Amino acid sequence: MNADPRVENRLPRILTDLGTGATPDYTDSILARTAATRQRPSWMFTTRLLTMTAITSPAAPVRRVPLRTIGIAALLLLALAVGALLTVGNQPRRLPPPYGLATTGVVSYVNDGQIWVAAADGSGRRAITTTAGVKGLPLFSRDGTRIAFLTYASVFSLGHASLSVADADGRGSMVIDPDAYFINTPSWSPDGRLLVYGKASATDEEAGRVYVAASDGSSPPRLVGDPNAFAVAPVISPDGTRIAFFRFDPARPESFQLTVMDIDGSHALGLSRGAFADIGGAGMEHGTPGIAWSPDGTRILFGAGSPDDQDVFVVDAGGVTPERVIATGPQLEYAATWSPSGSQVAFFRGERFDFPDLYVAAADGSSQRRIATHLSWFTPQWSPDERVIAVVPNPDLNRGEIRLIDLATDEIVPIPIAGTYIDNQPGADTVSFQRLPLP
Amino acid sequence: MDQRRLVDQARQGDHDAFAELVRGSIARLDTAARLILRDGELARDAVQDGLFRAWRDLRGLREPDRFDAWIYRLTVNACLDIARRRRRRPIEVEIVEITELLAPSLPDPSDEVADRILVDGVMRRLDERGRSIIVLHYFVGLPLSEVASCLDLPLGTVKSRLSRALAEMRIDAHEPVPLPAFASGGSAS
Repeated sequence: MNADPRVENRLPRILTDLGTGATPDYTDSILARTAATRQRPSWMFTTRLLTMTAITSPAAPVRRVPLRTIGIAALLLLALAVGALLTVGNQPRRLPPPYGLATTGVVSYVNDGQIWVAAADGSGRRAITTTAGVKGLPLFSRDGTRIAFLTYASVFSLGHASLSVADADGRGSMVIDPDAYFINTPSWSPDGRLLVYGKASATDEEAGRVYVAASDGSSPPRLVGDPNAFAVAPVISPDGTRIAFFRFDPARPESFQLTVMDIDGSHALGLSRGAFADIGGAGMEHGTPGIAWSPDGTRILFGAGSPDDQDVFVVDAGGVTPERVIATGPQLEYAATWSPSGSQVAFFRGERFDFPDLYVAAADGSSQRRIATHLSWFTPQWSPDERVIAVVPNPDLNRGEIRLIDLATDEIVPIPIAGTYIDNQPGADTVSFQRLPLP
Repeated sequence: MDQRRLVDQARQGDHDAFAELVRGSIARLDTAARLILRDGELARDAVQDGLFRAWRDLRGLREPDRFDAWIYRLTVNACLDIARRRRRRPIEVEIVEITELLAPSLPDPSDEVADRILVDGVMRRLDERGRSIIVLHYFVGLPLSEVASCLDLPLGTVKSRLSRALAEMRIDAHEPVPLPAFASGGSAS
């Protein structure tokens, strides 16, 4: 290599000359656009708000743990658990409707700003909404007769949406929350009467709170739980009586705790023994809630950890036994979800902010198998018959399709999608299967 | 008003303060984007996208003193997103013609022009990520460790790609280069 430092010394000036064009004349247009846009609330940036001091300071001294007592208690619990497993494990799994295995109906998705449906073999693709606005986050009710979705005024109305419910064919649409600002993780009650979700209020945008809305619009959305506590990613239990969510204190670096409360917001109980620095893998706005009730309502999956290393845990929903890890590794494991029968779990694994790979494992985390790579962050969706998982490939690669992966044959059914992907519009890349009764 | 105060005000939702920050930085952001994308129209899209994200996500900026580095990071990432999504589109090169750069006041025009031809040729051959490394280090003034973080590349990869580009420019990569003032300090969010 010839040593000629002259050019390098002049590189900053040469680059300036090479790149300088006319004075930008679009300053006013970008400022008009930003003036019309609300800033994202601070709670969306929980990890970024941590200071280097908080991250690097040594941990506070920990009280001496009575290991012998804990060991004896653990042995007793283990014996009880083994006994219970031996008893329950031989029983046929019967889950009350609308949970357990079911017939797979259509799959709903967002195509070119509207809600579309298609059969699981990719046929019969059609739009079920045609009204103004950009749609997102389609979610069928548990009985498959209705569908909830978001409507944004435009692709630039980031975070600002209304939440609507319509019949499964898109007819009879009605707005049930006109102010679904930065909504996250909506879930239907088993009887279809309620929708539970987290959102920040436009009048209180710093706060994430849990809301319950009547799905027929008969009453306005109601904040439930401690109004002074931050809460995200709420999910209703299969029996419809409780809500699991992450409670956290933004002033404390490690304070995410899996919590359950009654549907009316009372009797909040911290389930995870540990409090975590981060949840949700790549970000709440992409629909990675990190909380999933087992179909029988006895256990809860969740992903949590630090910004750079999250694991998937399972915990007893009654709060009797502490959480235990079922998927771990040097990368982030998150977005875990149960199969309809509860016999398997699916989860994402990948580096922070990188596009993850999809894994499927037995319910205890064993027999992990990689199913797909380089995906969008939306939580993988099981078909009600447990044969197929729907994923969305990394939108940056512009593949423009949803993939329905047959777990037995690895066969992929692609469903084309079009439209602008906006990374801050919750639900732009989400998919929901319609659940129909078994014949 | 100093930049730190403007950033603090903008983080509180003061759009006038943000507008002042934008007016003070948009010309250099536009230059950086043009160097990476080699297309004035795409560069405008990238700058708009970067500044939009800056306003939207300003409350997530952990270190307000690093605002400059942060908006370059957002703009460069917007450039790379646009490059990925529009790779099939024909490139419309709007880079200034080399002959137009031959100013009479330059001390040694032949050397200046030769250098620019050399740099321009190397930049043409690099992909957008390679050009981003050059731009972030030599134009924006970020240390290589921060360039690596910004582009989500291992530091070794950044160094080797920079070294190859510099070799093409017949430059000794070990020669230190004076960097713009804000290059020192911690990392941006």
